[in-house]
Amino acid sequence: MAKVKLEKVWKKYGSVEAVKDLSLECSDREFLCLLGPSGCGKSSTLRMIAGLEFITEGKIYIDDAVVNDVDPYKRDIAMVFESYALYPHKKVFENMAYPLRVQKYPEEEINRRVNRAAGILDIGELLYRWPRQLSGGQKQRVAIGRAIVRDPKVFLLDEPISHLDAKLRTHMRGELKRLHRDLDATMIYVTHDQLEAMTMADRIAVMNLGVLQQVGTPDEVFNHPQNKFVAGFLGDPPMNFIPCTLKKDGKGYRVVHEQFNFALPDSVTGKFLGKDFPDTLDVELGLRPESFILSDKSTEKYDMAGKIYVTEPLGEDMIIDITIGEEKIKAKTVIGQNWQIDDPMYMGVKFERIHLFDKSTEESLLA
Amino acid sequence: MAATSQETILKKKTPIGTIITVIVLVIWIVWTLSPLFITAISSIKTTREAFETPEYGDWKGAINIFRFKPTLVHFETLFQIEGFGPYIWHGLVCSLSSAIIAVVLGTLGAYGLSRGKFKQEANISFWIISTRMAPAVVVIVPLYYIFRRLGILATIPGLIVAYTTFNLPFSLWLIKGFFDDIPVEIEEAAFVDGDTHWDVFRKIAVPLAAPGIVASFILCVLISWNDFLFAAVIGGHAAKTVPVGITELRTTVEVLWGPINTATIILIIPMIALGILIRKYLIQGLTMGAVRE
Repeated sequence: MAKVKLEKVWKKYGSVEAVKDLSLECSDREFLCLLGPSGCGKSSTLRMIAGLEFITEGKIYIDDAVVNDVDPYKRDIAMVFESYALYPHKKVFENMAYPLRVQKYPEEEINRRVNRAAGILDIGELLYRWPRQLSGGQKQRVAIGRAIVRDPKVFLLDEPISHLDAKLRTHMRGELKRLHRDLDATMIYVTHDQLEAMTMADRIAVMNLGVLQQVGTPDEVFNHPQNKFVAGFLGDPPMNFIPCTLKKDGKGYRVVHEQFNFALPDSVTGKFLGKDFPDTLDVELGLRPESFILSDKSTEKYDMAGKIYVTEPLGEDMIIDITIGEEKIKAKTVIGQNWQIDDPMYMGVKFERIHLFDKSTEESLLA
Repeated sequence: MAATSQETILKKKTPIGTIITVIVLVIWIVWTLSPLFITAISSIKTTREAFETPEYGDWKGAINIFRFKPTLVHFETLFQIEGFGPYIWHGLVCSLSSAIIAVVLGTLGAYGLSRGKFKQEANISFWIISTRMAPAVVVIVPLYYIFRRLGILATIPGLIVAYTTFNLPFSLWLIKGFFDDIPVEIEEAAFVDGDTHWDVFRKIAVPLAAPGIVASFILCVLISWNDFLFAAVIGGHAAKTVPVGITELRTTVEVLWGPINTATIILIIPMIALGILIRKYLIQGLTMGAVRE
C-alpha cells in the first residue's frame, strides 16, 4: 500500500484547463473520494494518477517517487473503469487472472488468488462465462475482482457503480466500503454522487471547474462547507440559499430580508467578529432542509413566515416546499402533521446549523 | 435485437410477399449460377459435346446438356500442352504474399491511425484511401515505368509489390474500422494491469480485431488472385497468372473453349472454398465496422 501526492497539478487539453493547480494528498490506507459534477476534472485527475493522461504541469508522487514519466504498467496500480472494460475475448477467470499472467505468477498462485477474489465478491459460479453473458452488476464485480487479485499500491475507481440500478448501488456501497477495510488498501474513488462520497469516504475532495474546492472528512464538508458550491453540492435535497443583507445592529448582527429579519446569536457572530467586517454585507443565507423548526402557529417564536407550496411525503419524512415572498425553499420534517397546500407556515432557524456566504466571493463567513 | 427485428419483418409478410421474394430469388440464383454451372459441366465434356445445343424451341433437348461422358482431356491439354501449372503457382505465391504483407503492415498502420494522436491524422487517413479511389488503369503506366527502372518488371517480387500497392490501403482501412470499434478503456485496463504498449496491441487489440484482419486477408487474396490488369502489364511472362494464361488460350488458330472452361473452374474453386471456410468472419468483417451490436 502507498500514499499518493499531487503537487500543483495542471491538465490542459489545448486551451481547455481541465484541472487547475491541484494539490492533494491521499494517505496510506485512506479511502479518498474525488467528488464533483461532470466536467469538474475528477476523472482527468484519476487518469493522471493512473498514467493514462500526461500531466501538463506539476508533479504526482506515488509513495515518494515522482511518477510523471512512469508508464502505467510500472506504476503498480489497479483501476476499475466506469464501463468495466472487461476483455471481451477472455472468460471471467482469464479476465481476473490477466494482471497476474502479465507478471508471470505461477499457475497455482493464479488459481488461488482468482478463487479468493471470486469468493470475496461472490462470483465463483461465473468464472467460466464470457463477459457478454453477465449482467451489469456481475460485470462490475468481475472488474473489481480483476483489480483485487494482486496487491497494488493504489486502487483507482472511476464511477464504478454509477451504471447499476439504485438498489444494487446501495448494496455495493456497503460492499465496497467493507472491501476497503478488508484489503487495508489505499483507494481513490471518483464519483459525482454525493451520497456515495458521504457514505464511503474517509475524506472527500470536492472539485468544480477543475479547481479543488475543499478537502475534508464527510462531516467537515457537510457541516462546515468552505464555500457555496460545496454547501450546495452535498445534501439531498440541497441546501436552500436566500439572498439577504447582513447588517450591524449595536453589538450584534441581523440578517435582513424583505420578508423577514432576525438577530444572529453570539454563537454565530463569534465566528466572524474577529475579522475586519463591514457594517453591511450582501450574503447568501444557507439553510439545509433539516435546519428548520416548523410550526403552523404564529404564537411560537419564529424567524420566518411563509406559505406551503406543495408537500412531498417520503414515507417517514416529508419535504415541504415553502414560499417566502419570492423565494422558494425546501424544508424536511417527519410525517404526521396535517400540512395542507397554501397553509401558512412559520419557521424557526436552528442557529447551530446556519451558513452564511459572502455574495461576491461565495466563501463561507463561518468556516 | 437484430434477430427480433428480422422475425417481425418475416411475420408481417403476406403469403404473396413471400411468393414474390421466392420468385425473385430463384431468378437471381439461375441468373448467377447458370453460367458457372455451364462452365463447370463443359470443362469435363469434349468440345463436341459441349457445343451440342438443342434446336430452338426444343425444350426436351435441354436434357442433352446432362448426356455426356465425363472426360479429363481438357485438364491434360491445360497442364501438359499449355503448361498451366506454373501460372497457378505464380498466382498463389503473388496473392498470398501480397495479402500477408498488406495485412501485417495494414494492421500496424491501422492501429497507429486509430489510436495515435498526431497532426493531420484525418488527412493522412484520407490520403491512404484516396490511393484506392482512382481506377487501377490510371496508375498502371507510371507503375510500369517505375518498375522498369527498378528492374522488377516481369518478376514475381514485382507483381507482389504491385498487388500490395492496392491491397495495403484497402486492408488498412478495413482493419482501422475494427480498431476504432474497440473501446479505448479496454486497452487502458490492460495498460493498468501491467501490459506494455506492444503487449496491449498483441494481446488485446489484435485478437479483438481478428474478424476484420481475417476478412481483409481473404479479400486481399481474392482481389489479387482474380487480377488481370497488373498481372498482364507488370507480371509479364515470368509472373504469368491464371487470368492472363486464360486469355492466351484464344489463339490465332482457334479458341480452346474446353481448356478455357477448365482453367476458369481452377480459378474459381480455391476462392469458393476459402469463402465457405471463413464466411462467418467475412460477413462479420464486412458489416461490423458499420453496424453497432
